[in-house]
Amino acid sequence: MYAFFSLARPLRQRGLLLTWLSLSLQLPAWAQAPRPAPADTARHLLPGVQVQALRPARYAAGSRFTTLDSVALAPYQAGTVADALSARSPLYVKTYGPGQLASISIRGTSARHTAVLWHGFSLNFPTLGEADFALLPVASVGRIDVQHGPAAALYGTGAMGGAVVLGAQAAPVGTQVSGMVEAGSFGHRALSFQGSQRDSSVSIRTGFMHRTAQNDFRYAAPELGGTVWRRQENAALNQSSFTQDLSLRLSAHDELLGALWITSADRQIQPAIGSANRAAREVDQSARALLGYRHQHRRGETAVRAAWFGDLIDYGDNSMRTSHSRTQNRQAQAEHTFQAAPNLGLRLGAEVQQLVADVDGYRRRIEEWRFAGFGLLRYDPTPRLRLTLNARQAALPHRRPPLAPTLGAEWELWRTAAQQLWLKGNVARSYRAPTLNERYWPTGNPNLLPETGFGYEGGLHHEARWGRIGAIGTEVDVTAYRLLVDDWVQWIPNDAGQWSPRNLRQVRTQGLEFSGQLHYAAGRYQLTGRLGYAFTQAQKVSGYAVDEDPSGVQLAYVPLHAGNVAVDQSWRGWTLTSSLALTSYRYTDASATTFLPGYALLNASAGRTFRVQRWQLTALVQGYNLTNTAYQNYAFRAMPLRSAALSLRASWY
Amino acid sequence: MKTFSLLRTAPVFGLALSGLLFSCEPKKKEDPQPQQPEPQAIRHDSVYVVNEGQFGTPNGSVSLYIKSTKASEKDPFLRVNSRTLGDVVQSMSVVGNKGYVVVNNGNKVEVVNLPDFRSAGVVTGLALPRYLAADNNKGFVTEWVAYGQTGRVSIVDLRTNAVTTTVPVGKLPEQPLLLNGKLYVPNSDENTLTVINTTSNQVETTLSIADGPNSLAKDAAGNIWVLCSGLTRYNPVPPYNVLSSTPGKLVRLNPAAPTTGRLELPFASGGATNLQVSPDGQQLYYRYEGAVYRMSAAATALPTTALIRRRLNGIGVDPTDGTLYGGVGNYTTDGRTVRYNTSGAPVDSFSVGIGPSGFSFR
Repeated sequence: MYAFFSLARPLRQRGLLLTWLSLSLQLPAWAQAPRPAPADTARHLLPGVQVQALRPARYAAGSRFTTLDSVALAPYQAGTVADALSARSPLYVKTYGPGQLASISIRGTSARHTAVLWHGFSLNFPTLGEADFALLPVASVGRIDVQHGPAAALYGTGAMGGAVVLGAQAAPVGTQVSGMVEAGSFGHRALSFQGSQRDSSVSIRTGFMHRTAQNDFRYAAPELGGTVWRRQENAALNQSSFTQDLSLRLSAHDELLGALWITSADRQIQPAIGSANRAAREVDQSARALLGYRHQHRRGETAVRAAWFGDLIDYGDNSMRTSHSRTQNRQAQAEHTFQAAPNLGLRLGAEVQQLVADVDGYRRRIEEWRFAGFGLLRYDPTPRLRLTLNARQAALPHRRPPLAPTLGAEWELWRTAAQQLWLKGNVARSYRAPTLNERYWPTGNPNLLPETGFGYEGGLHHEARWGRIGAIGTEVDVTAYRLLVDDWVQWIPNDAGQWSPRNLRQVRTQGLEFSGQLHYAAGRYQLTGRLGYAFTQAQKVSGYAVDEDPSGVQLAYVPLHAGNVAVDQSWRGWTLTSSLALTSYRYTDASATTFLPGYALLNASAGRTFRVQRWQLTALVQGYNLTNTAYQNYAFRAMPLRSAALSLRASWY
Repeated sequence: MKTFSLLRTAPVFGLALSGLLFSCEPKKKEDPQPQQPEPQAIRHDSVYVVNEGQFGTPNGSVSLYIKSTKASEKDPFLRVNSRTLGDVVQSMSVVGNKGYVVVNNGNKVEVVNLPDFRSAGVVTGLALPRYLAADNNKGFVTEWVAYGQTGRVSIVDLRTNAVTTTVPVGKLPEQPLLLNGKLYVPNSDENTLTVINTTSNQVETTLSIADGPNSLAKDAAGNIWVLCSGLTRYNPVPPYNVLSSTPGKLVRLNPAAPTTGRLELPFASGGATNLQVSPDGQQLYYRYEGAVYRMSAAATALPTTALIRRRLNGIGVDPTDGTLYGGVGNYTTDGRTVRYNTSGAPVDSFSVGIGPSGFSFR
């Protein structure tokens, strides 16, 4: 779903939008609640509780989005956000093995240049400044919107390469319960349960997921005398996730929202091929609680939110004592939106954040306060031109990052009854606050400057419907961008030989992103095809002599080309999905001399849904890496060959 | 039947994309070197640069440098055997026509034929091995075993590459010295030197030296020099503060009477490491506080001025001409080896693998 169609109220009545909504309502049955209620339509059609937080597109004119909706996420209900993004988008997710640490790279930047948001709050670990996408189960999110490009004005620190917005699942009207059991190769077992109840004043939803995997897959190890097939050791995992959402409509204008998300993962750390197995193990637990209140005025609304995020990381192996990390992130946001006119909206807000860290390595308890104020302006001078101007000013201890403004525009160049062509673009400055590790590790650097980024992009977006009334709909989007990150932090040995972070480089990334989507419906048959491609050039362009990484070569683990093709089909109770992800070679070190070859991964699933009165039963067979490709995503980390899973899902409403 | 044509388009897209993706892999890049070393030219003219690689990733390597032609090759083992040496390549010992590459986090010693680097065997069953010293057909491999535990020396039959016996030593044993039928093992997490009789494979004695012995050298007069880095102890529980810290020491002892008549030269602080000796046994070299120092083996005080003011990952001294080799590089990119003349002036440099830290010569 493209951003243009997300919110702007005047657009709702347009024919194309209605076409889209009608398409949305025909999603494959197993992918969606029996009475599907996509976020937008839910609010549009049911003026009851507003479960869904604002989608990110409202104040992001001219930005590019990659969205994984419930259809795209359905085959990955027992997997993680890392699995879904790797298979269904051209974004590069670097992973150390199945279920192991997975970090994202958007537009050639690193994981710490990506903000990951849940209900408007960043869930990046404050110690590392990044998120492990393998710790975020798909079962706990309703959709994933990836905003490409710098967007610190909207999301705050870290949104330099892009932002990943995890959308909550909306509860459909009425009562619904559903469950899933899944079993697959290498000891993969998963179990999930969801229940929800919604009426005009109360919406409540509970979800639970548990999965376990041995990951004792076979891999080829080059050894003396030739290739030896070995079974992967020390890669088992246990993972759980629990969500609880509650939304209360207190009056016609007041709403209270509560949300809780608890995740827990106990993972053995997969050793590299040929490295000693040190029996490394990591336990990650996160609890995220949120309370929000929203009051609607005649012209606009006021919202306040408070959140507490706690993260625990324990890591140990047989050569070291377990290392503990405990952090708390206490945050509050207040914002007021003035809808001066249907085509003019202004949102002003402020946030405060207190970080508390008890990390073994720091040798003391750390507390840090951060503040920010922001203003977001959306103005549509004409129905064919949309403008947004956003700005955020953060205040960090000792350092003040620069003002982070974004200016974006979308202009409808051409339109007919069945087609429209938009020109879009934006320019933005962004920043990244130093992480707690960068500042407070014993060899850290309290005087680090925030990294700053400057980026701009431009592109075209085309939408059309062909054939008889909306039988075929297409969307094509092309974007070219350039991004400059300055004061890029790098850890290098200091004068005493200790590794310490310094603001050392300027990195430039530039590239081209293409996406196409095709939707076809004929009777009870539906087909959605998606095509994505990213060309990414990322280089250090200048630095200091002490930084020995060379300039002018592609950064490690940034593929020059990445693409994916996904085809989802449904007919009566049958569904067939397939996705092909293609990744070109990646250098594995900063010298750009050693590389991993490119690879293609094909996943597919076939399912059948039966309806019996108020029951809906689905059986789904899923196949992964169907071409049995031996590949490595991260150097020397084995990945599974062909594997399969059988999923049984039942729901009652 | 529009449906089927649509269905067909997806694989076509896929094929077109995959064609694009796989057609453009970089050319197999070798180092920008003037020429590939020719195996038959390698005769007591070779320098082997030990590159640790990244910890936890088996991309350690040994680079080859030919002195007469100045040709170098980043990873001949990989080229010849189509696999990498392993995770944390710690050291390499040349014994006859074989090279013994100790792979610390691979728990093994890779044996290669020289000069062509063709794999000739693997010694397995080791636990965090560090260095190998050889006496006739016996190899002595120091092993850390595990942090906080006592280390050991595994004795390897170099004809079969099998471990025949193990000898317990102190904690974190480092580079041993073979001298007159005895193996001197510095236990770097203690203050001791374990002396093993290489005929009986028994511990003869354990000598108290100073905190943190890490490297040994024999000078022209037949003395053993023991470089000790000092020891810093941290509180094992929060707040992980420093409980104690001792400075380093350079200790000279007479192997015939190791407990008497020692010369002890104290450093102001800890951290001295990597003791090396010149070909004539008259000069000692070591690294301390981000510099390389040289000291006469006849001196009775530590030098106060550095020979090379540069932080090097490791140094080695060419036993034929005394040229000093220094490894530079972080662990994210290919490193370089800088060659210095005997007065410490840089001569030239060449590109090597990731994390160069040790050298051996043939």
